[in-house]
Amino acid sequence: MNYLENEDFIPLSEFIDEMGSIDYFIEEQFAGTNVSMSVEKLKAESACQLLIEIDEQNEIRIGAIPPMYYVETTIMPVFHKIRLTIIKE
Amino acid sequence: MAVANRPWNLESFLDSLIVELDKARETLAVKAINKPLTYTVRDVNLEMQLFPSFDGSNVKFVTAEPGQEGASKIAIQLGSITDQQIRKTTKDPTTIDDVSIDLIEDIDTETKNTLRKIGVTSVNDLTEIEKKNVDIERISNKKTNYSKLAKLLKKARRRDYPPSVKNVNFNISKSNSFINVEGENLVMDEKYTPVAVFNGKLAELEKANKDNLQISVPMELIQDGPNELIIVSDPFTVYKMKLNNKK
Repeated sequence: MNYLENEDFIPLSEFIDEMGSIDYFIEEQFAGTNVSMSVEKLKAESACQLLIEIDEQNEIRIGAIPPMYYVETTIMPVFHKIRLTIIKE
Repeated sequence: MAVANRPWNLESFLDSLIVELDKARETLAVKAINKPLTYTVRDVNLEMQLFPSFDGSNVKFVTAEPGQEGASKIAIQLGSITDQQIRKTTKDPTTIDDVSIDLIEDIDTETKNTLRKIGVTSVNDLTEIEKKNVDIERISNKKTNYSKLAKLLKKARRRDYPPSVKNVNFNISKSNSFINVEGENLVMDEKYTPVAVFNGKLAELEKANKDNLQISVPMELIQDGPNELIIVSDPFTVYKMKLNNKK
């Protein structure tokens, strides 16, 4: 659910969820048997735009999105950096 | 309406960041119910471009906007922590019978901030450092002292336990007349001798505890119809009762 005023951004938790959606198997036939692989650990680093809003209850809402455009503009958006490690349990 | 790009303090930001990370973890945990593979976020590192400002007592931050140059870089790393580690490295939360300093209105903000800086957040914390003979006046640059605080704290504690009277009986006899008051939190401070005034005259308290008072009153003072009983149970608590004596 997006509770941010600025709809260009999504809540940081969803952003992390999206980055962490790696629960897939890679399956391959090898020498007549099925071989499957899964990710053990993922380290992701990305530039991101952040939105820090203060709501009526003086609570902070954090929104984030990956860079929206890949074009150089006169005034560039501010890019923060997010790094996360996701591990298999 | 939420406002973007207003200065914020680090504490509120970290609170929200932790909530966001917890939410993400919860979603991953729910996914794990139906998926054979389960993943969890081990750590998140956020490097932000910010402008800090200091107003004399608090540091606030505002996120850099497009076109602004010279922002400071702040990196926050949130790692996983187990419940055991939390227990080892943090103070126990304020319990029901304790009072949080933040909630006491009579203590001014400056004193509250001074106390927080020295790690005192509740009345029990203050009692602990008092036991160890810490010179709180020197630590707080003479801004506060125990006796001043103790009074405010006693007052705040008393406010949480107001006296309530449930039943009052007259026992009238020629030799010994007394009034029996039953209730809750009638007398809380053992160091203070409570005082009773009956129809404008000082009366003797024969028994005074948390749920029972026995006040000796001369028979001739008891009037038919309305009588007035005032109890001063400690410096912060006075209660007055109108007692109707029907024959």
